[in-house]
This record gives sequence, structure tokens and C-alpha cells, in this order.
Amino acid sequence: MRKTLTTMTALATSLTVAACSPPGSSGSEEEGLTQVNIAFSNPTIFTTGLPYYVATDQGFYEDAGLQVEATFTGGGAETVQAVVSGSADIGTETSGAAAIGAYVEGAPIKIVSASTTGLDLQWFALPESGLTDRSDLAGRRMGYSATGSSSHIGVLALSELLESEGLPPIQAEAIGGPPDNLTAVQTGQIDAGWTQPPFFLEEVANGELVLVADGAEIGDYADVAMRVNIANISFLEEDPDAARTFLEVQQQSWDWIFDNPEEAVKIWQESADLELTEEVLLTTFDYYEREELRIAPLDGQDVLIADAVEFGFAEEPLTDEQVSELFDLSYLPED
Amino acid sequence: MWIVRIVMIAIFLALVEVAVRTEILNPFFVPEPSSVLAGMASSVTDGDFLGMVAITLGAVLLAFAIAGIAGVLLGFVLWRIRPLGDAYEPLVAALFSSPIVLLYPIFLVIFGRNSAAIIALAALFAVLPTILFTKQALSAVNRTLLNVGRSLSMSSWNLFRHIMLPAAAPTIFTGLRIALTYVLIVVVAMEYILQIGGLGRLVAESALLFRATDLYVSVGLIVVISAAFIWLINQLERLAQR
Repeated sequence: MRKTLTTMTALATSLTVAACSPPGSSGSEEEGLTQVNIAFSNPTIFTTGLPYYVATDQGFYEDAGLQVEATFTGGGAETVQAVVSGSADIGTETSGAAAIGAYVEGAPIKIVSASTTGLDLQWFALPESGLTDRSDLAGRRMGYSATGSSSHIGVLALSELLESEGLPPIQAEAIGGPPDNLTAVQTGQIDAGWTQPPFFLEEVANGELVLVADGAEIGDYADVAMRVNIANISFLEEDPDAARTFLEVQQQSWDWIFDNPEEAVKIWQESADLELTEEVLLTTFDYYEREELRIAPLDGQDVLIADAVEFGFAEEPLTDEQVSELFDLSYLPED
Repeated sequence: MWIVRIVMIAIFLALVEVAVRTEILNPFFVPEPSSVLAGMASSVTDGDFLGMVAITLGAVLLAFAIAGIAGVLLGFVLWRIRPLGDAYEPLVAALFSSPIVLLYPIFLVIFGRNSAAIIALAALFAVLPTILFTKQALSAVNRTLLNVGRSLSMSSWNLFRHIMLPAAAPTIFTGLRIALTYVLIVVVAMEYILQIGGLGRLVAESALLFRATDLYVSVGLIVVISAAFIWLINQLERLAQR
């Protein structure tokens, strides 16, 4: 009996210790590698999944002394939740608005770098829907990935734009990634879904889908870091070098991707198990400039904060002190 | 008994309040119970919030009504037509233990992305225990009671109303209570997952926006609504047994 009690106490103690351990400390170090838990949103997408697949395939993480454990999320606030809960040390490609909203509610996170600058979204519909341009979307049901994601911000900004033109607002629905949006559009659950190049461009070329709006039409987001990389404060305090190293590898991966597009799409196709041909995947590079995927500088902080307030993620603008605490770019590579 | 319950809950909430204020519990994850209670009180006068409560309540009532009526009728049919009961009772029991809730994407396609899909799914899930418990309740009515009724020349209706219904009611209401629990769970869970509808959607949005107080207010009200429904069904059971 006493032995059983002792065993149970030991088990309970170890579970408690594990539960109370700060993020980053749970990872075991294998062969001198530092384990870092990373949340990636919508992993099949170019801007989110590809740098991870390339860094893994090319051994960039191992070369830098990292062992990356990936957690995949639906994007937006789901990525922030993973970081806040400690499931992930770093969250990539989440919207600035979601991160700001979580921060003002007391979440222990920092925005550590830019991820995607500009709004690289497109919205599609069925040809028989009769939707041809963005004004047709007034009063319609449109999909986005998850609350607080850049696709959510995009729909809210588009709705606001339409309202300013005297048209009815959009009914935004949390649907998921581009494949989920396609299913929802095809089954009539929503009128228009979101995508990112190159997904569904082939269907658009074949006339199976029509593009009705583009992120470039909405607001002035061209020079705004619409998606950012965030990190848990405990992780940053405990292992700032791991955070710096990860960001270095992220930039290294993007440089390699733009230097080796053919090889990159092969890795993308195989790792994400995509049915699209390499030729189609290569067209993605027609839509992105290297500068749009740089991790620094982080432009448009004021727009991100204004959007967070405008779309209900924060009640009031951040103070200067809050801005300098939240936007901590000291973990960026020096050059 | 009520006083003991209330005192125990009050002591628990007071301990949580102290733990949050002294930051033993992280206020980011667990808000002060006093702020949650204040939020619950103020939400009662908030039009938007009441609108969401009405949507969830409406979905629950409609799904439960469909499941209750259809379940009791189908259970009666399976009991009355014995070959049918023998053939389909195992199938209903098998469906009852299946994760039917995973069919929700199909319901979205059939009914659209709206409350109708949630109501249909909840009703389908809840009708199964109602059918099973109704059939079992009617099958288990003591034959001696029925023979006594027949010896008194009672009509079929009187036999049903005064002997069968009171005898079967406790088991039928057990099925209805389970059905109601399933309806509440499915409606709120689907609202949460799909982010459409009422309180479930509010819980999802509060969680995704890290508004812990709003989240606990919503969950607290869902618990209150669940308790109110269970109380209501207990009163109905007492009424049926008279």
C-alpha cells in the first residue's frame, strides 16, 4: 500500500512539475540540439509551410543546432493560443491584430519579427454565382481561416470598404484553409472563399472558379507586415539564442527558396503532399517578391494597432510603452 | 440542503478569488469569480448577449422537441410492433454508441451553414436514447398491472393514460434527460466549432480573443441554462406521474 502511495505521489509530482515547467524547458536536447517548438499555421501554404519544409529538408535547423518540433494550427488566434499555452515557443505567420489583441488581454507574448508584408489574399467564387468584382460581395457570406487571422482581417477590411461605399457589410464565416473554403463554396455554405497563390489558380484559368477580389484592392497594406512571428516571453527569457537562431534560419530558408525556386517547389510538393504540378507551384513566385517575405524590418506597426482597435481585437490604441514591450525586434539577426 | 450547496459553492469561489488576486492562479487564464458574476449580472440586460442566448435556447428547445416527440413515437412503434422492435432496437443501440456528431460536415451541406444544421444534428443524436428508453420503458410495464386494468374493463386510452404512462414515465424521462443533455452538448459544441449561432459562438470568440471573463460568463450561463432545463424536465416528470 505504502509503495503504491509512494509511486502515485511520485507520478503526481512529476506530472505537476511537467505542467508547471515554463515553455521551452520541456524539450529534450538530442545530440546537442536545442529543441524549439514552433506553431505553423495552414502548413500547405507557401508563406507558412515552405520555409519549415525547406529548412528541414536542407538540414538548416540541425546545422544551426536546433531540433524543431512543429505544431500545425488553423492560423490567427489559434497560433497565438499555441504560444500562450506553451505548446509552442514561437508562432509563425500569425496576424498582428491577433497578437495585439492577445497582448492587451495579458498574454505573455512578444512580436519578434515580420513574416509577410502586404496582403497576399484572393477571394474566389463559382462562375454561376454571378459575382465578378468586390462590390458584388456586399451582403454575401465570405470565408476566412480563423478568428484574428490575416484572412479574417482582410474580410473585415473589405466589409468596411464596402460599407464606406454605402453597400451592405459582408457576413464573415470562420471556415478554415483554402481547401475548406473551396468545399464550402462548392456546397453553397458560403458565397466566396479565400485563397493564396497558387491554390485554385488552375481552376480560375479553366473557368471553374472566378476571382472576385484581391488583397491589393483593400486599403493600403502593401507596406504593412500583415503577418508576424511571435514568441512566448518565458521562452525568450530562458533561451534568447534559440529564438535568434530560429529567425536566422527562417531568413536563410527564404533566401534559399528564392535562390532555388525549382528545388523549393519539389520539396513543397512532396512535404505538403500537394497534387498541384511543379509548373503550377512555380507560378507562386510570380506573386511574391523576396522583400515581402523578409523578417525585417517590421513595417506598418501603426496600421496593425489601428486595425486591432478598428476590428475589435483591442479596445484602445497601445501606449508607447506597450508598443515597445510588444514589438521586440532585438532577436533579429544583426545584419 | 440548498444552504449547504450554496455555502460550499461560495467557499470554493472565495478560494478561487483569493488565489487569483494573489496570482497563485494566473488571471490571464482564470478571471476573478467576482468579475465573472458581475459580468453575468450585467449580461442579463445586454441586448446582444440576450440575442445570443435566445438563439441557443431556440436551437435547444427545437432540437429537444423534435427528438422528444419523434423518439417517444418511434419507441412506441417499436414496442407496439414487436418484429419491428426486434429488428431495429439493436440498430438504434448501435447508432447511439456511434460518434454521429462527426457527420456535421454532411449536415452543413444538406442544411447550409446555419442553425438548422445544428438543430438537425442535435435532434438526430438525441432521438436515439429517447427511442431506446421509451421502448424499454413500455416493455417493462408490469403485466399484472395491465391485467388488473383490463379486469376493470378500462378502455385502451385509460389503460395507457392511467397505468402504462405512469409506470413507464420514470424510464422515458430518463431517456429524455439524456436526450436533453445531448442536445445541449451538441448545440453548444457545434456553435463553438462552426462559430455560428449563440452562446457556443460567444465562447469560441471569447477564447480566440483571450477574453477570459467573457468566456467564463458564457460558460457560467450555459451551466445555468442546463440546470434550468434539467429542473424543468424533472417537473414535467412529476406531472406525468400524477
